[in-house]
Amino acid sequence: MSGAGASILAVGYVIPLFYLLWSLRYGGAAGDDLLFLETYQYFRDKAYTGSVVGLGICGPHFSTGIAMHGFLPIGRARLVTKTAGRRLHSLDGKPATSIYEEYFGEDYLAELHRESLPTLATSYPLGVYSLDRDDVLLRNPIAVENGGTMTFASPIPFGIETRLMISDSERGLETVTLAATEVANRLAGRKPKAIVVIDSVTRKRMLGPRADEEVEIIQRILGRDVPIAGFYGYAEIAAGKPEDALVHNGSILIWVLSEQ
Amino acid sequence: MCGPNWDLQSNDFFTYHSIESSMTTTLPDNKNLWPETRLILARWFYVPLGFFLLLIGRRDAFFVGDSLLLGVVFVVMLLGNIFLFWYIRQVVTHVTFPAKRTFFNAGQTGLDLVFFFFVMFYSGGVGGIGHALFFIPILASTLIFTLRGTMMVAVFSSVFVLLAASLEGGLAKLTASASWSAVDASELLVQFGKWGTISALYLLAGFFGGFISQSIKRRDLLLLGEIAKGQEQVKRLQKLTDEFDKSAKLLVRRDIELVSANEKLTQLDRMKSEIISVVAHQLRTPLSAIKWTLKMLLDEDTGKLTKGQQGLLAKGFESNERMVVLINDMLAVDYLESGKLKYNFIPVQFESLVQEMVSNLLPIATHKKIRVEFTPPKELLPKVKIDPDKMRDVFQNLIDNAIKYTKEGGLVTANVAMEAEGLHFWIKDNGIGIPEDAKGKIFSRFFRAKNAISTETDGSGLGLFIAQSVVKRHGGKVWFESVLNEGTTFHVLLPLTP
Repeated sequence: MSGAGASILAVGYVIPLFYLLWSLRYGGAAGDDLLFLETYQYFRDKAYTGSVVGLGICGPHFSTGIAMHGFLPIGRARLVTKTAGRRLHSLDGKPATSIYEEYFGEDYLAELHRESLPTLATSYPLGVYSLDRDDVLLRNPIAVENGGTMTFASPIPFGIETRLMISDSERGLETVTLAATEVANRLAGRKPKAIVVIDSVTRKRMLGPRADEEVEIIQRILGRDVPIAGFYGYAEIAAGKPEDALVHNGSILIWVLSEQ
Repeated sequence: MCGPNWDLQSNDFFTYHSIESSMTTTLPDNKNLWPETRLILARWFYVPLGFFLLLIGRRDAFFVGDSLLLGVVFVVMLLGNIFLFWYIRQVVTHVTFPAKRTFFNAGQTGLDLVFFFFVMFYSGGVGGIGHALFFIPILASTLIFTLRGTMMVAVFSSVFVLLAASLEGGLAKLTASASWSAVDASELLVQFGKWGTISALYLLAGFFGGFISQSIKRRDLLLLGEIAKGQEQVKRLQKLTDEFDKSAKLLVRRDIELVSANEKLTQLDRMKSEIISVVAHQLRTPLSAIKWTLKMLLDEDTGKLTKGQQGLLAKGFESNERMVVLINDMLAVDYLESGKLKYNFIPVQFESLVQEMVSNLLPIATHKKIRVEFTPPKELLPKVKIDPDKMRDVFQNLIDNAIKYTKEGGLVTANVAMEAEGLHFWIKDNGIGIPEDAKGKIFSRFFRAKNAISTETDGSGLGLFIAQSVVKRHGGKVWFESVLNEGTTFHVLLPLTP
């Protein structure tokens, strides 16, 4: 960064992990294009696995970001009755898969129980209703077990309401416009210096050939000459304050840095 | 799939009436909330209270027989209350009770009245404080009776006090001696006077207590009615939610079917595009060869040509050129759709670009005797970030169409203006116009309106599709207004981007 003297410092191994997590505002989980085999993290020309790469920023600067998904709930809400971290066992006392079985119908049941990733289910993530917030977080299913237990990309807490979510590419792109406009508003006239986009791999799947348009929309709203970087991942983390950090799935996270 | 099948109006009507008719007979499921139960519980306190009052304030002339009688009355009261307690807990239900309710309440109130009569009579009579105890059944009756019932309890209380006053006033002596001379008239009058005052108080308490109780009960009735309505609404909403859930399942299934069908179609479309791409690429080389061969022949590089030969070759050359344009358009579409096309946004003086395109196409217009007007804005517009090469294609297509579909001697005007939403370019012609039935499809691939085909046989039907794709990728929009045989105006709006 130039001008106000802000500098970017890569801190992958310099600062302890707890400090990194404590000060985490925006981030994401690596992805492997829905293969769910192994993910890699790149740092200084090397590829790691099972590691965290961080970006520390010091000096006077302004940063803001937002994660949005644009999915809408469909059907009746179901209560999480048994869960353990990312493994969801039951909803309303029935196996977790029941929600998908009921909505997909018999014709598409086989699709859900295929050994590999339930690709169909990723198009219809679960919406998790937070108790103290209005927004709905998405949870993407990544595996189905025979007993009806489902594994999701991020944890689902016990006792909360979940619903099936639905969207389409048109709405998906509208969401990008909304998110980028909101970021532009938060910048309040500041000139963005860098844009980091962490996008859900399921959005890429949903948008298909139109996936590139996301970046074009962001550039159109935030500036075509602003350096932009990012990746497709399995989870997006965004927070106004570090203690409010929320783990999103199926969302696009736009994080912008500017001078103060 | 069947939808909800209710007649809301008749349902409302039914709900209202069911509440009205059930209010007098329906009791809460929890027996502790019944007024009768509360009264029985209260009796555990006021009966011993009355008995102790009796012991403290008893008359001087208190005999052993009286003591025994009062003890028996106290025990009877306690046993009676135990029975009532057991009866209401074990025997009655909220279904069987309503029919016996008035009888039950009359019974327990009567028991109270008799008990309080004894307490009053033996604890100082009308002159003592025992008569105040009658306020207990009067006020208790406001809970279990209506205004009329409460007034009746007040009247009965008054009768008991009258009985006590009469006995105290000396009427008992009358029964003993059967002579009026034994009765002290002044004493009797004093007692009746006290009775009158106390009775007036009972009646007042009964009336006001009953009146207030009636108002509260009416309010309760209304509230219960509202609650019942609310519960009915909740039930209805639950039913609606279930119906919506069914619809949601239907929609998701249809969505899945459409998505998979769309995937198949996209795949087919991709295959078709690939075929077009391959064919177009394959055709381009021989077409180039034909072009240059014909060109050489026309330029007489291979020898002199007769006029007839030249005419034929010129026609062949033109047809070949048209074919080349068509192939190029097809390749451009393929490129647009494949996502291979990369945009290079740079700041451009917009009106200069328009000027350039108008100048380029002016010879064609002049050839057709069509006037093309373009007046650039008086002040320079701010530079806009666009891909000039792609935008040239847009203007080329729009201006070319305007010229192509305007008859000889027509007028085409191009305009550029800075507006709040961005840069606005529009081109107006007084040409053939677009028929109503074609308006919805004008931006589709390979679509050409019937009047366009009859006016100008050449054309791939790809120009507007390309223009729209490019403008969309710039974040802008393209639209038109058209009246058949009068003319068309095409608009392009490009947002000003940072």
